[in-house]
Amino acid sequence: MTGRRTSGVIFMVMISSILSAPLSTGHAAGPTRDVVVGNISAMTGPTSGTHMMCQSGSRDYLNYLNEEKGGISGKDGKVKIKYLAYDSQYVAAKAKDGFARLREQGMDILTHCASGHSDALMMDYEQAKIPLVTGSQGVASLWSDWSYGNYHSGIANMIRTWIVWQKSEWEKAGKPGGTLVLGTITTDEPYVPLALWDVDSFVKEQGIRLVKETIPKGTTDASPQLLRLKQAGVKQIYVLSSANGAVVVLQSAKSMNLDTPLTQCAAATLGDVISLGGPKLAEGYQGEYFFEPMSENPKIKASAGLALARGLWKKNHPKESPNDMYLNGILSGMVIAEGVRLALEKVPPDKLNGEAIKKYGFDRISGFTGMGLTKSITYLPDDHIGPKQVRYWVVRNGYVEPVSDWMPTTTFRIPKK
Amino acid sequence: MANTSFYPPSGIYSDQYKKDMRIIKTKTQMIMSIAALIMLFVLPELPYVSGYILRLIIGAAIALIICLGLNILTGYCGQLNIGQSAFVMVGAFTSALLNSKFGLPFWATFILAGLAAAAVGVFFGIPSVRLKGLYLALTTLGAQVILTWVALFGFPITAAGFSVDPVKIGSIVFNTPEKFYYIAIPFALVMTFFAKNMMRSKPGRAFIAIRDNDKAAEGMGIDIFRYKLLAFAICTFYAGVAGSLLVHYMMWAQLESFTLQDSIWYLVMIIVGGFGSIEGTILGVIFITVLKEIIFVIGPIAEANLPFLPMGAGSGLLLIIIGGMAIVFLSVEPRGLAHRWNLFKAYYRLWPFGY
Repeated sequence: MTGRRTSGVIFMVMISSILSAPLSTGHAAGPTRDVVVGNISAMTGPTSGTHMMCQSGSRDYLNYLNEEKGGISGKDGKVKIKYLAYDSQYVAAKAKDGFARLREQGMDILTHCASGHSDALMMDYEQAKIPLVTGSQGVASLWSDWSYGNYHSGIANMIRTWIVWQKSEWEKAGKPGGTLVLGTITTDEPYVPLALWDVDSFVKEQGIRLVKETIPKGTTDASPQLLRLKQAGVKQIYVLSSANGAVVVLQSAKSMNLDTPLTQCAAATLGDVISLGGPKLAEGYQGEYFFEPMSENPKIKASAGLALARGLWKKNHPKESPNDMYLNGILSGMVIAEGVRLALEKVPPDKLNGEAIKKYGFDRISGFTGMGLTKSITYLPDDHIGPKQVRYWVVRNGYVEPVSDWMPTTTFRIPKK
Repeated sequence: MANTSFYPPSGIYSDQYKKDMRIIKTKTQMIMSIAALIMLFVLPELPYVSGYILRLIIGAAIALIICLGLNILTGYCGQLNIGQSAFVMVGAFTSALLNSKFGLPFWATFILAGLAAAAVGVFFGIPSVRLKGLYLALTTLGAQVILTWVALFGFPITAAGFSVDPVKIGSIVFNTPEKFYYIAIPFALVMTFFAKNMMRSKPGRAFIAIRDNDKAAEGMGIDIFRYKLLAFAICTFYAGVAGSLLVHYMMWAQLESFTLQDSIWYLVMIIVGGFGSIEGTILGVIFITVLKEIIFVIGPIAEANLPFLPMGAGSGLLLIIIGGMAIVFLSVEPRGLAHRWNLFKAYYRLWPFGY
């Protein structure tokens, strides 16, 4: 083919693809009224691991309801869930594009596990009157009447709750040392300033001292930071990092024979750290969970919800190692199903939409535990945070076991603007 | 205008400089340009043009402004810049903060955003007096890292993200894609027109001279440092204005929207479109935008039907294919789609003759 003909062919293909673009947008179709759940997750980018697991968990659970239970039953009928997903590539503008696309496809409920997306999409889901069920509310969306959390109680409460726990343990031990000195080691990731928002004031209120150190993202050695924390006399260290950063901290701590206990924030789970660093490296590492971990510890009896989640994992991902964030997705799916079930008690299936599901469903959720997967989730008119209970666990012999009882989290909210 | 309706095979020959400098040379071109403008402005009213399609077009318009600036610096002036997204971020946060803290409307903030980004761009362009090629590229990469760090740790509000008012004209609020389309498209048209004319003017010729041989350009009396800084300023001004448009369109300003990967995507767009070509920039942006949408459709289908693919592999296709596009175009067609477009025009004008 000559160069000119090749050019002609290339441009005909381009023009055809541009003109066919309208045909690629989906439109809600079919005579049956399914409840459409849309998921916008970053399947590529720095948080893709977490997002993929969350998406997978919610999809697998809702598909399980469709296939095994025939859908969700209500007073006047049953509905099935139609699950649609969109890859936002971790870009807020693409997340908004995805929202528009899913809305055109008849989305009734939005779900994901991304604080950034929760905030960036807030105007969209509020204007469209579509409730959001998310494993991670952001700063602004924590205040939104249309956002329902099912995981942590706000990013700024992670370290605060840990400090409260440490202080209570220190007081029980008779306040050794006079002043409690704690440390935190963080990486330079976007959520870190939010997690440490105004923490100095909180620390002052608690009457303790907090020593802060930072390691650059991607570093392979945290020894200098850990040494400074040790020299400052810290009793425990809170690791505000993803699993990769946590492994680096653990490796450095091991090489220094540092025996100061380390606790992982909920940005990564102990399961992630064990997968990445190995059970030996993670031995003795503590972490916080807002639901039961996936770890199949033979000493701990699994709740019905956890047993179901494990079964779904084995069925849908037989060749992969279990991931804790999958449970985050399962819990989102459970909250969605519960909201729809409650709404169906008041509204017939053909009248269900996002607004009805919010008013008659999510707003009425009270004492929901996801078959024992988490502590009680109750949504109040001015509080959609979700479970406000956390438990600390520790890695022992490759499994995780509890090192504390369930305890209430702090409920600080970063100012909206 | 030439005294002809169509573009003759022998070419258009002007008898006056003024006629030669016209962008639209024939009556047919004038009619087609007017028709295209009308088409652009009635597009939202057409059937099958959904909100999603309008969002894609708005995104492409904003990307076009960013890539025009990048092509002026990299394509015309030969100064490689792999931190363009950081300058978009400077403009975005400048506009957002002025709006959020001081209540300034978009019509004041977008200019200030452009100027702020230009000032920062000139600062990071200073090393260009001594650095070239890979070394200058690393400097711009440093800009990306430094500016991201400043936004993350310098100001808590920029790390947290905050809401931004939509664009308003009187009582009309441009808070939907159907309305914002009429902000994004005129901006894209004006910036394209400005870029096209800039490259036909004295600074544009100076940029090209510097790109082709900076020593020879200097020998001819062109102040290469001044013109390099001017190129940086124009490039980053474009980025700043685009950043301002972006945050007022999204009504949210967030750090995570401006990453190194976005800088790479902009570079890929101008590689595919063609360095040193305004038409190429337009073609490159459209090509990559359409390609991404095709991959969005194919990716999940591939993942669902090919069991050996791990979870998320369908989405990973995006990175592979877009990256592959850059390699293919650099190897097979380094002059990009703009060159193919010129070949097509030449073929069309000579048809049915071969030459």
